[in-house]
Amino acid sequence: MSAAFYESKLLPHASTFGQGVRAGSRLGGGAGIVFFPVKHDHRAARSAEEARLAAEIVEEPLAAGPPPDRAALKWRRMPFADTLRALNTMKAEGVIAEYGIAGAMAMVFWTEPVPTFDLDVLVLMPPAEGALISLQGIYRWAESRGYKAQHEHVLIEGLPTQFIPAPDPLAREAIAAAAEIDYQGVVARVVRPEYLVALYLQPQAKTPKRRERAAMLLALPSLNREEVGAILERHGLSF
Amino acid sequence: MRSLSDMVSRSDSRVEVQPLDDLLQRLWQGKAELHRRHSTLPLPEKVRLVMELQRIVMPMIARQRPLRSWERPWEIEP
Repeated sequence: MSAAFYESKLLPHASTFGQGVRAGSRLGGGAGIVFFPVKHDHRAARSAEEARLAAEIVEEPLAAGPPPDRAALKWRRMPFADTLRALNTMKAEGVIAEYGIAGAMAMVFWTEPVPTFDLDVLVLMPPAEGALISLQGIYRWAESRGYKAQHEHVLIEGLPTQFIPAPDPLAREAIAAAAEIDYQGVVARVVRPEYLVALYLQPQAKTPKRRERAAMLLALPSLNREEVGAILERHGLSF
Repeated sequence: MRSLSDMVSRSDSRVEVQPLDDLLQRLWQGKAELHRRHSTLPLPEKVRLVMELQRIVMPMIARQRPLRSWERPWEIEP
């Protein structure tokens, strides 16, 4: 409805965002209008064929039975670790060559939590013919897994994830030097704070919010300041 | 007409007055301690805090501009 009539500007309320019919239903995840063609002849106002299909669709999730208890419902929420696992799967399956979590969620790994709504992932794409870098492989893989694309994000295990092909040597270096951090048994590759500072100090990224984040990282006692200096010098950056 | 000193109650003289510098110093120390504590939380706890922050900032953003499609609190398990 949103796309058809409201230029995709009609958005669900926060309390209903993510609702959908899942368990054993052909409706799949999400909410909205779904079209199922039904063949019938000589029907005007009533159609037993359509009614039968509607009944089947209603029966499908009911046949799966009610969830045993509220604890089970809670369990069905997708864990953050599953998103990280999906990133590792993308690498293992050659969809991406390498990755490093960047942006605000990388900050969370190194310092205190900051507000963010998405997961930024710097990626190196597998070698391809031609000079142009395409994210089509990522979108195809996501679709095959049932992950929906939402504008520039892919909803991976419930998390809006933005894949950013490494745009310059600094980003490529940041990915290569990313730290491997265990998150509930899943290894996540996270851009190290020394590189996050440099990324935030790039002229095209110098917004007040990013400067503030760079300042937060610079206050980290564990930050290797010599390395920050060397990275900045190597890439022609300054405070 | 009463002077300002007449308007101050006698009991005010018992209030401990501290130099502003000391007070600010203690406030900054308290903030630094809170930041340090948040920085050292276990990762899942930090993700939970991110989700809490999302619920706090979302209405604030919505008052300034239309929310983007992905600007919604996450429905995940930290």
